[in-house]
Amino acid sequence: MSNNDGYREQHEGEEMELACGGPEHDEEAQVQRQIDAGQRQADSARQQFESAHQHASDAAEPRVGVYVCRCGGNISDVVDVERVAETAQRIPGVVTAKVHTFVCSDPGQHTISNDILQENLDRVVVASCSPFLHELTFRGAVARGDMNPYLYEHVNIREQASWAHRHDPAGATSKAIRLIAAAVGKVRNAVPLDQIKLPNHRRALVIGGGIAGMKAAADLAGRGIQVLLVEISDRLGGHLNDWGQVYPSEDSAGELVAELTRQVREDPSIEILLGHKVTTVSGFIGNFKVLVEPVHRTEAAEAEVVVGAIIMATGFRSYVPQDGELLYKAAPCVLTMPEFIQLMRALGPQAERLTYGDQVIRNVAFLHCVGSRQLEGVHQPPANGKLNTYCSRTCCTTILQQALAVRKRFPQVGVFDFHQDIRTYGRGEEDYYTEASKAGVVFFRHNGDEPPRVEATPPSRARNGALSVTVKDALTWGEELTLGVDMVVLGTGMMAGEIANLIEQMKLATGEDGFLQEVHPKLRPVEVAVVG
Amino acid sequence: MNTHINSDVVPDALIVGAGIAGLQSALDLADQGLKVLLVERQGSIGGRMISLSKVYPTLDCASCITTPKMSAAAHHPNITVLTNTEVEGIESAEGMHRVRLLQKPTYVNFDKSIGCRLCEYACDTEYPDPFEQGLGPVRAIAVPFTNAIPQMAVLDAEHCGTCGTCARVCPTDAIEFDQQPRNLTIRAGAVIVASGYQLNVVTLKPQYNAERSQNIISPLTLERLLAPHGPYGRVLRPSDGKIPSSVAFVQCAGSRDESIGVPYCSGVCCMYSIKQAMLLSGALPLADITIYYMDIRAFGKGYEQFFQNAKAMGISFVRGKVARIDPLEGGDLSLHVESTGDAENPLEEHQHDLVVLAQGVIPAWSPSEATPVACASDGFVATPVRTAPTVTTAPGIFVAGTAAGPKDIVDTIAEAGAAAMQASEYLHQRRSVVALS
Repeated sequence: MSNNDGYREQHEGEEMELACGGPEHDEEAQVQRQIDAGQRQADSARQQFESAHQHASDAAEPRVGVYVCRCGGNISDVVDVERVAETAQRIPGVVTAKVHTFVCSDPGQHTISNDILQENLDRVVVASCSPFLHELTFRGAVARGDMNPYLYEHVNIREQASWAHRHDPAGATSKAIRLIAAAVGKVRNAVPLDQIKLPNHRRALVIGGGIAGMKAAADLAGRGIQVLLVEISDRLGGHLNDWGQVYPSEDSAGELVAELTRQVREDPSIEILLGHKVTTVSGFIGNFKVLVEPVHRTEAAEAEVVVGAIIMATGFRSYVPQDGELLYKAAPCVLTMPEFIQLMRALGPQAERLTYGDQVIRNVAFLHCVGSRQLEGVHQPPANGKLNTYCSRTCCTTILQQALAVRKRFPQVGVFDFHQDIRTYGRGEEDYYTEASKAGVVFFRHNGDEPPRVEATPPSRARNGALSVTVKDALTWGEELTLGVDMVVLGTGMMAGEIANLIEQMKLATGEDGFLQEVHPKLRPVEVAVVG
Repeated sequence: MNTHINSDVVPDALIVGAGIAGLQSALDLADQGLKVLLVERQGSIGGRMISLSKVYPTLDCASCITTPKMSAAAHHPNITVLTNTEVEGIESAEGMHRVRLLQKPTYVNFDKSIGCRLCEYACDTEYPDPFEQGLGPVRAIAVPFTNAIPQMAVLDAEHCGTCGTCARVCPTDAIEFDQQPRNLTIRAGAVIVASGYQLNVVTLKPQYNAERSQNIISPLTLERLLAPHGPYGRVLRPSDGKIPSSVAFVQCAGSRDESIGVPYCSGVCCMYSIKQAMLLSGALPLADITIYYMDIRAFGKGYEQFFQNAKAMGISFVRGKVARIDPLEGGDLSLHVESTGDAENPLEEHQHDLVVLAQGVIPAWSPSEATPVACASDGFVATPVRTAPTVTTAPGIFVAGTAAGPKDIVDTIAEAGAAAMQASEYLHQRRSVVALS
């Protein structure tokens, strides 16, 4: 343990100097104390480990390489990385300590695998970002240097030092040193591990038989994988069954459903269970045990199936306004978007007039962002008590599509559109906005915190319609306008599906918005944190 | 990393473009055991994403999250990467695709080069660095950027002074001034077009006078200014190096405008402008930041909340169309805005010292000229099958990312995964057919 001895000597020497010490020495001593504290933590962990595993520690002294990342400034703008590396160099067992702008980059990784070979390293520590992001990256780099990837230890000095202690560079630096010292202590005691292979089931479970679930099932089957497609209702197609045409192609939603239904039904690799739900999930990737049971209990018992992977395609539910919100359910001609689409479909292509019940509709108001983009203090939260602060991203184009359809099919009907922003961002969607403007849809714009009000007009003044919409219109520089209309259509948004049981069973994470949380919202948008 | 290939090799899939879409598709296919050839025309893989500062709405540093994908692709045993290579054309017959490639001369023999960069350090010819949007200098022979993959210097013939210094200092005799373009034809089972986007030029609208002021910049230039490892290491305006105190973002400066041939929405500008505004207010706490917009299209997951945060941070959002920009003496700019703010004074005039134009997203490559892949009227690859948005008009050729229309990184990655699945399915079925016959 010659390394250790040298370290102790140096350490004692510094303590002596401390006695006559200036602030600089004081700081040095503090750093040493941090190293000591990290060492002590690691040592006690080591003792526990040794007693548990009877680990023989007669192997040669480990040779550790430490790599400190600048993260292009994310770390080095706060943490003094050069000093961290210098100090790390003095930690017992550390053979080399280097700083790199992006250790995760190819040159950075190359440095590691190269050093393992050149310097005979047998342990590696990288101090960079969260292990969640890069632990696997560096295990790979280590493995390319012919080292066991489990003799690697990851230290997070970005989230835990530079970001958390942005306003305390000295503190962040000393914390980084301490974390690294602990990691070095830990990795010195690490034992090589080998990966084992377990058999896995080449069968996937797709939960939800809407458009997403059917497409996923068809693709998996096309790739030669057996699929069990479980749908809670008694038909495939989900929400699409209730829609007319889909934007921007104006294809019939029914035909899309029919086409995919045919595809999944004809595929011998796909087993479809309608009217069933998944009640229990256990196991892990490659070997999930899943209990599927009929929604309406008959003699048919529940069935246990084993699958290797699960795709959640459980969909959304439409926002349903609370009774009285914008006069929904309080006035007869206030409809949600799904209800209005039903109405348009029920009228059929031959209808000459837009009618609802007995009433002929002469003008319609479409309101955007109902149940979406809600603001504290402005909107009433839905039944779950949480505001839907997000944008539902489909309502704008749906409204413009329907507004345009009304103008085209019933040119005598006036159409008014009340929005904060028009979000026709997707390919082919802007055309709906342009076309709707050309077709005479009248647009009114309001601020997010000043949504339009819907009121019933007293019968004496209901010449222009039984309802009125009042808005502070930004396009006329904030003038308050009131329009009489016969019908109000609420551009209702989406809410997360009601799958609390599945979330509980599979230990899935959900976001603030109630929707499933992906592993990384940017880079891994279709994976959940539970592997498989 | 495997950077070599000859015509005998028949990859399962060839991917055109090694940006984030191409990388993701390549990794998904390679992880299924399929052999992938990844073709990139630039000197490094990584695409546009590697040059960004941070990405919305997570504010992850783009380098930090792109490099692992680049590295994973470069080290994957099933992926071969060809940089400095362009696709000249594709002919398809009987389910196979003959892809004609042109390997451009790099004047550096990658077999011999050890990536030591001695040539780069010795070179004394500099030109404006294209990676830094021209803001800093780069040597005529250089590794394209810090975290480029491969870490191989490439000589820029246009700017090289042919002094021969690089050849003299090279320890492995890797410099070859006589390299010629090389044609190569590869047969591949499936092709994924992931050729990405470019922005339309900053001078597109004469009324914005961008050719008369260096301080009217492209958003990609601002990305470099904001990047922690950018050309100046901080935000300075280009004309005189002044720290900006008032920055304007002009939305829809190259989209939603029939007069310039881009009637569609570019889909990403609102969000990146909000992100840049947030990063700017972090970098320049005293600066006033204004976003002039028509509609704020914060549609994705977590985007609306990001927008609300930006408002809460004090970034001002002015609903109005910028009609004209006049450069002023001293480098400042005068913006004439038709705004909905003030009824008495709808035509406002505001002064700023730096202006960022949200230019439109247009395709980087038009495959319809030399391949069986058709493009739609908007210029992007046509995707005629409603239930399979990555399928093109050509069987066995798929599309991912912004080659099929403007979209953000999240949607690009999801779509790249879908394209890989579609290609894998195609290959699987083709093999079954071949096995049967």
